[in-house]
Parts: sequence; structure tokens; C-alpha cells
Amino acid sequence: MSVIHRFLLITTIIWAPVILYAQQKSPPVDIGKESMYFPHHFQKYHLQTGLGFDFIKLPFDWVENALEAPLLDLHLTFGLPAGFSLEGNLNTILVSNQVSLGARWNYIHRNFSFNLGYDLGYSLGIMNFAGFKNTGMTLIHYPNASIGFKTKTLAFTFKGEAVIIAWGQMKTGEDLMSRSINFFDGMTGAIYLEQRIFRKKILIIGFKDNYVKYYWPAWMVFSTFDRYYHIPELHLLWVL
Amino acid sequence: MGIMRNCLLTLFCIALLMAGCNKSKEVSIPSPGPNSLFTETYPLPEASRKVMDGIYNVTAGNELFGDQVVLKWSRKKLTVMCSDGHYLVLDVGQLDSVIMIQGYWRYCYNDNTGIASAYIARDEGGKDIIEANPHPGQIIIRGGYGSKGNEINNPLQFVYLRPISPSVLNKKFSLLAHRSGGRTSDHLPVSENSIAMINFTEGLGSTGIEIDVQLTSDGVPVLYHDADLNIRLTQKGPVSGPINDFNYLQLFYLVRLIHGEHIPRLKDALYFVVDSTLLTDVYLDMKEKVPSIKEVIPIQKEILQRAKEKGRDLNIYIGLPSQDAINDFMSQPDYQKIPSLCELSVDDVVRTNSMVWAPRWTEGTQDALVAQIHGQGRLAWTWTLDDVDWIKEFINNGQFDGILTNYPFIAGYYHYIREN
Repeated sequence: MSVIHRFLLITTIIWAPVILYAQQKSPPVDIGKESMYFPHHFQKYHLQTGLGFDFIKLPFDWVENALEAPLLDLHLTFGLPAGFSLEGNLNTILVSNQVSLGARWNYIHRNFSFNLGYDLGYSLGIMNFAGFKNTGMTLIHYPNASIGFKTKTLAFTFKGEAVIIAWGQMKTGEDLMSRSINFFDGMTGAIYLEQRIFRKKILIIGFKDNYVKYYWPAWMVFSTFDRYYHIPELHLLWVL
Repeated sequence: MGIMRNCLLTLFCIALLMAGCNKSKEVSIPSPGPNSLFTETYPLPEASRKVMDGIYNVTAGNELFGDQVVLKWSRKKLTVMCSDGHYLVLDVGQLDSVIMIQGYWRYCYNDNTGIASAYIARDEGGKDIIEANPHPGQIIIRGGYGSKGNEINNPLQFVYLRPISPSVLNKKFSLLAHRSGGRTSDHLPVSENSIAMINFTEGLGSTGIEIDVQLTSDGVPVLYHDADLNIRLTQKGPVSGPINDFNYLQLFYLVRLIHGEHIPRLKDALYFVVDSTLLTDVYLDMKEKVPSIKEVIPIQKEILQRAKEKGRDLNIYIGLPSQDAINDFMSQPDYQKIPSLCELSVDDVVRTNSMVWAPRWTEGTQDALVAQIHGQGRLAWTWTLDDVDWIKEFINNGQFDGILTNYPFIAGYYHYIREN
């Protein structure tokens, strides 16, 4: 996707609701309670859904051109008592998919908050065309922590997580290779901005930097480099 | 206020989208400097070099080089091949009855490197090597390597175990280096698809190379991988855009590859192969934005004739990566007599009468199809395989006659260490 196209897509996503609904009166929204990434006491037994895209820029060393790809991102939260919550994610670009499930413990005091969490992710990639007969699977641990700050209308969240690859399996034609490794792959750091744009609709904009050696969406490039790469992601989601 | 926020958000997002650039890194070859004792040595004769080839136990330096290594001479360098992607490229000379060794080690999957220095004492194999004794009593290589900078700070010792099995040496197995030796992203000191890389590649254990061929606007086949002149492959300069838009003189005067070399003509590169290397296989990967097979065939013929006159064992195969390339190839007169390599199906190999079938490694070892190819008297290679575990799998359990890789020393290790 060219720079021009990216610019147009992002501005459309952000500005369109303003243009379409600029004249309507908006009901009050407590951003601290309506957000998905900002640590807070989620509404008990209530499911929250966010849907959008993650735009990824893969390392030049791996793809040898300025390849970017959008991942479909489905993000779910489910509130539990005593500050706990569950979180789920589905990311897919068809040939690469990951589902992750995890738990959080959230604490909030006035406008500041934090949470501690752990996710387990299972990624599956299948390519059976254009000279590929491959399936790749990995199991990844994501211990994580977030701190948040909110104003009346904005919620900021800073999230850090470790990426630990527990197990991997690759099938190439008829050949199968499994590796059981608790391999420290790297870390990610992210910042999320959550804001009501119109009516009660919350827009989440996030920037995440993956500082990792192996990156599951790009399993099919079969990178063998033992180097850390910065792989940025831009997240754009709407809370449904 | 809402509009102001959205404006800031938009600008924020654009700035973040611009992030994520990965600049290519240079990794220089460590060197002990011009004043080392090695400068006093004399080159080893050919017969002496062969005595050093073999399998060695590692008795010091295991943390880096593993438990066994393969030592194999190429045209000018002694390559030490390890099981996990470490390797050494060494110069060897003799001083009295002592063999002096100097060079560097490198881990191919990242930028770790350091110097290495060693010797073989007279009564620990030095005399046997200099006298070219085909059955040396013992060979012990003692020395050290550096983990950082140019200092030696760790011991290194290799003890000769056995020669490379004669059945392995007699079996033709091609260790083909991708893009003439490696990619820009491998952080080698020379550029991919350059004559400098062709000169460098045998030290990595290659017995053959794959090179990418494109046509300039005036019909000159050159070596270049990407469709465009770009910062991945070239230094910043006054021109950019599709390489096919420029004639050869423009490329020669206006473009330098990432390490300063000129983009070579295919003819010059192949003359270098036949005159200045001992490489036995060349795989011409035809990048076909503009069909170039018609321009390449006469060059292939000329170089093969030169190789024959010089008594050189050399094969040059025109690669056929697509149906368009096959159609172009089959429209050439007497195409069935032109040495070629086909990447598609076994049926396409038969149609084009290609000598080599070269499927992508991602389709697996394909033992039944490789057996079918062998039954027709043809060869089977696979590409481009870089993972240690998969290289080991394909060599130990596959039936291919060659592997195209960015790391020929890894394929070399698993090939030469075989007992049969």
C-alpha cells in the first residue's frame, strides 16, 4: 500500500465520523469505563467487542521491499469480579492467524491505573499454493503489564509484554519438524489512545513496536536471522 | 476541540507509520593487522592442502564451533564448517615446518564475528602436511579466537579424526551459493550479484553459484536481483527506477552497488568464473520483466566453449522459473541442446529437456519425484534453504543432488560429514 493510500485510509477512518455526525449532540461517556485497553474495573460479566485493523511494516531484511500488510483484529474483553477481566484476540490475514486468551488483574485510583496480565497465543499458518506446501504452528506466552492515565475524554494506556515461544512445529511437504523451546523472543511496547469520536462510539488508535526475532504473522518468509528487529504496528479499532 | 484532536491524532498516526525503517548494517572482516607473523609465510602447495581436508574433533572452542568440524580447502581459502551456522575462513601458510593459520570466524544468522589464529606444530602434523603425506599420523590445530574486536581471548583446538569419505567426495553434490554468495541482509563485506562476491564465495564453501540476470535497455544482460535500482542494493545516486530503463553505460557510470562495485555484465561475471575460480555450476536465474533468454544463450555458449578449451569442469544452466520463460526458451532454435534448469513440474522438465529440476524447498523432499528425475538421468536441486534443521533433514533424508542456500558452509558440513 503506498504512502498516499495509507494516508487516505487513516484519515477516512478518523475523520469520516466527525464529518458525518458533526451536527449531532453526543451523550456523555465515561471513557474510563467504555475503553478496552485502559486498565479499570470492567463491567461484571459484560462482553465488550472491538473490531479493526492492524497495519504492519515488515523488516526489509525479510521481504526485501517495503511490504506492509493489514491484519484483521478482533479484540474482546469480559469483566469479572474483584478487578479481574478476561481478554481475547483474534488476528488474521488468512495465511497467518493467531488466537490468544488471557487474564488481567486491574487496579484503578482516580485517573491512574495499572494491570498485570498473562496471555497464551496459538498461531497457525497454512500455505498450499505457488510452490508452498507448508503449515506452521507456534505456542507463545505473553506476560504483560499496562499503566493507564485518563482525562475526561481520553484514555492513554502504555502496555509492555514479553514474548516467549514455547513450542513450534513446521510441516514442509511430507516432512515434519517440531521444536520445544522456551525461547525468549523479545518484547513489545505499545501505546493506546481511546477516545469517543461520536455518540458512544469509541475509537482506539494504538502504536505497537515488536522488538523480536520471530514474528508469527511473517512465518512464511522462513527468516533464519538471529537478530532483533523493530516491527511497528498501527492499530485502528472501533469498540462495537 | 474534537476536530483539533482528530487533526493531532492523524498527524500522530502518519508519523508512526513512517517509523520502522531498518537500515542495512556493515560487518567488517576482523583482521589482526599488517604486522602479524603470517606475513612471513609461504603459500602451501596444492598437494599439501588436500592433506588438511577432513573431519576434526573440537577439543577447545566447543561453545562456538560444536563438537566436530569439517575442514575443506577451496581455491585460496581453508573453510571450517560447523554444524550450527558458525564457520571460519582461513589463510594458511608455511614457515619452516610450522603451518601458520589466520583468519576469522562468523555466525551466519547474526553479526557475531571475531579473529582466529592457529598453528600446526612440526611434529603435530606440520611435517606431514608440508611433505603431502596422504596418511598423516596426527594433525592438531592449536590456537585461539576472539569474541570481540581483534584480540584473541579464547582457546581453539581441532584434532584430526578422519578424511572426508571417498564416496562423499566422489558423489557430485552441488553447494550453490544464492546471489553468487549471499544477500545484502547477510551483512557480508561484498555486494550480492557482484564479481567481488563471486571471488569471495568459494571461501564460504560454495562449489557453484546462482546469479540473477536482467536486461538493460540496450540489450546487455547484467547481474541484478530487484526490478528497480534501490537503496537495498545500490548506494544513493543520481538515478532510480526500473533497471531495464537504463543502458549499460549509464549503469556503469551512475550506479554503484552497496559496497561500491559496478553492476557486472553477465559476460564479465562468467569469464571471471571460468578464468579465476574453480566453481563447477552456475544457475542463471532469469528475472524476466524483459525476456532475456535470446541474449543470454550466445554468452552461455561462448563461456562453455572457453571452459572446455581450458579443461574446466563447468556447467551453466539457464533457469526457467515460469511458463512464460519456458515458452520463450522453447521458441529458441535447438532449445533441447541448451543446458537449462526448470523450476516447475517434472513434465515441464521433460518438455524443455532440462538437465536439472529445481523445485522450491517448501514442497518438501519429494522423494518419489526426485527418483523419477534420476531415472531420466537428470539432476535435482532445491532452493533456497537456510534453516540448519531443514538443511540437515534434506541432506540426510532427501535425495537431492544440490542445495541452493545463503549458507553453503552449513550444507557443506552436513554433506561432507556423511560416512557414505
